[in-house]
Amino acid sequence: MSSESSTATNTEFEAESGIVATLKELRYSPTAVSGGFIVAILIGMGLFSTIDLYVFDKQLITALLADPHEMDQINAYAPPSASHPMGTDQFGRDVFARVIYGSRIALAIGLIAVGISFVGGVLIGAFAAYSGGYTDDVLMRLIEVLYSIPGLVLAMTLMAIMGASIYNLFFAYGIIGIPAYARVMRSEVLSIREEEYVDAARAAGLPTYKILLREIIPNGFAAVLVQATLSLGGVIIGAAALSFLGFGVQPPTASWGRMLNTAQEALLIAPWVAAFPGLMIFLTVMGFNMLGDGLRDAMDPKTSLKNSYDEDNLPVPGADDSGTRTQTAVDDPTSPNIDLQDGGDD
Amino acid sequence: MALLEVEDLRTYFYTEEGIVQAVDGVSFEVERGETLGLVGESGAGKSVAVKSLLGLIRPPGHVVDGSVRFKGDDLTEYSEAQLRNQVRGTEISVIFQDPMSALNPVFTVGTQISEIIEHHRDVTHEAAWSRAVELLDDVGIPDPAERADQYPHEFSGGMQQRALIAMALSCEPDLIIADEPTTALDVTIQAQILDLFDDIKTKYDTSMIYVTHDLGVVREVCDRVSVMYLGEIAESAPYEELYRNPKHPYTQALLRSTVSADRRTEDLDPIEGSMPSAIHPPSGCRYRTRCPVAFEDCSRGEPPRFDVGPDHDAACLHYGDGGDGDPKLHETGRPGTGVGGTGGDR
Repeated sequence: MSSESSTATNTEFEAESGIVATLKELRYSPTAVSGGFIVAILIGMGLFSTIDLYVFDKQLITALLADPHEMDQINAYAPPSASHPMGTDQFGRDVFARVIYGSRIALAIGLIAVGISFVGGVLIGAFAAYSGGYTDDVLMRLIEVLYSIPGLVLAMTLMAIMGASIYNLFFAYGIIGIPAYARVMRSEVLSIREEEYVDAARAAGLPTYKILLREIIPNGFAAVLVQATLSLGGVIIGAAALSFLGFGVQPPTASWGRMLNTAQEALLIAPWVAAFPGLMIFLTVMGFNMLGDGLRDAMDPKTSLKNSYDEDNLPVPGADDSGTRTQTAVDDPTSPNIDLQDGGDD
Repeated sequence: MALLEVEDLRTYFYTEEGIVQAVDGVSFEVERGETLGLVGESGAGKSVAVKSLLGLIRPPGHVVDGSVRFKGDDLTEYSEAQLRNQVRGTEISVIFQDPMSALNPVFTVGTQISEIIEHHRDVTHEAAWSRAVELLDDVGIPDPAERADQYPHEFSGGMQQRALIAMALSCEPDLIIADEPTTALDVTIQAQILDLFDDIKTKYDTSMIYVTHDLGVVREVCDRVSVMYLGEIAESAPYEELYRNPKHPYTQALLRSTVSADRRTEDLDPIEGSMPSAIHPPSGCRYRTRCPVAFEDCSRGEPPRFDVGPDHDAACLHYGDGGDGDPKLHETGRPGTGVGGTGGDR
């Protein structure tokens, strides 16, 4: 009995359509762990600056470093020193403080824009694939029209129409991200909709929206999640590019792209003003890409994990697990899942 | 009036290769409390026929003709929404072939059952959940309260099938369609499931259509049997009559090719050839290409279903007036007649 319950708790991780299982696999990938580390620091910086800004009114950062918006003309373009670890910019503002505050904007753009594309893409892709026929054709052709316009140009056009503001930046990048998600989701759903549980749900009289939201989307989630992590970096770079070009985030709000823009005037005399925001953009994008790469790698065994209950040759779940587990164990012999082998046979 | 009266049902698939006449003029009736067996080899159109009843056929398939009278109302005239809200799950429910893939892997079994109850009945979530636990208890799942909280992959194959049966029973339908429900299970579990069907038929007072290719299983659960061949019904009779006194050459051949424990494999007499394509079915009697006793008239026009005994009909010209001059054949009622039995008149 005890071994049976331990099996249950172990396999429970694989129940969540492989998402939890995938996340669990992640810690065996050094790439993903480093990526996760960078992303965690970024999130820490973002949280710190947000709390500092809204709760303490910049008291914390002023005490520790300097007010990111406070000008100090005498100290303009001061090189890195003990009091200004990353130097100061043309108005004498502390670059380090501004870099920390910039992470808030970068993360917000990344998460909100990706959130918009994610939700929009998943819904459109799933609906198109599930409906099939003309609905599918029309929706996907519209999506492809959106896809055929270069992202930056489209974002600039949208910003020019709607006006430069951070909310419009979220919106513009959210819209241009939709096609990628819609296509990934569509291809997932094309196979999921043939599953018997979808037929079973139809035969039970559940309406289309319930079938989409309960049966189809949760099962196709994992692939889109990888797409989301991988495109986060791209969105952050894109937003930085827009800010650099003068659209997007408006001064005096600290944003890495905007900082780069102003720093170019003094690139030779004060390279630190450009170097540090640039480095942060680089690290952020690398962090998210490494995390996404790790996620994608961890997804590969997921296909075999998923098979353990899709395949029709096992009267008792777990009996076949030894086979699928060996495949996973090739990647990481230290996998704790190995105790499934002895627990799964009863 | 019978509970379900299917008349001249035709379901065609309009594919690029041509029109697949998967179900072509099928008629049968199911009385209240009765279990009808729909038997035939793979590709005979059994599953398409039962899916057509509920309007579950997806394009390019269409129900092109015929009527499905359920409690007197023609289901083919119902709209999709009417079918969904008034028939599927509540009046007629389906149990699918492969229990492993007919349950949604990302939700607990209890959630999936209570979801259907909540959708069709005006009950609270708690009431639906406790009903789901009751149902799991009814279908013989031990510790139903605990099991309801588990995911499908934590169930054994037999348990999964029991859970699916519970799901089909959830809104107490008047008719349950079981589409090869034991095909994916091994024989010991199969026997348990067949017993369970007997129990629930009495307890819930439902009628059943039992689709299978296994004549042995039919003996266990069915009151009447309709034998299907290439989209048409070849023979229909109460099961005892059909076993003792098969009339259609196809039924006779099927019975001779059935494996049973007291029969050596050498004694088996497989049916020669394979089923022709449903795109260009043979003219006249569709079985004539493999029929050992086919004669000239068999290629001219479809054979009607002749009465060959009490509540027993067979679609074979040998029993018609324009047949072969041996109309006495069915009256002699030679049990288990071999090829020679019907073939003597060639």
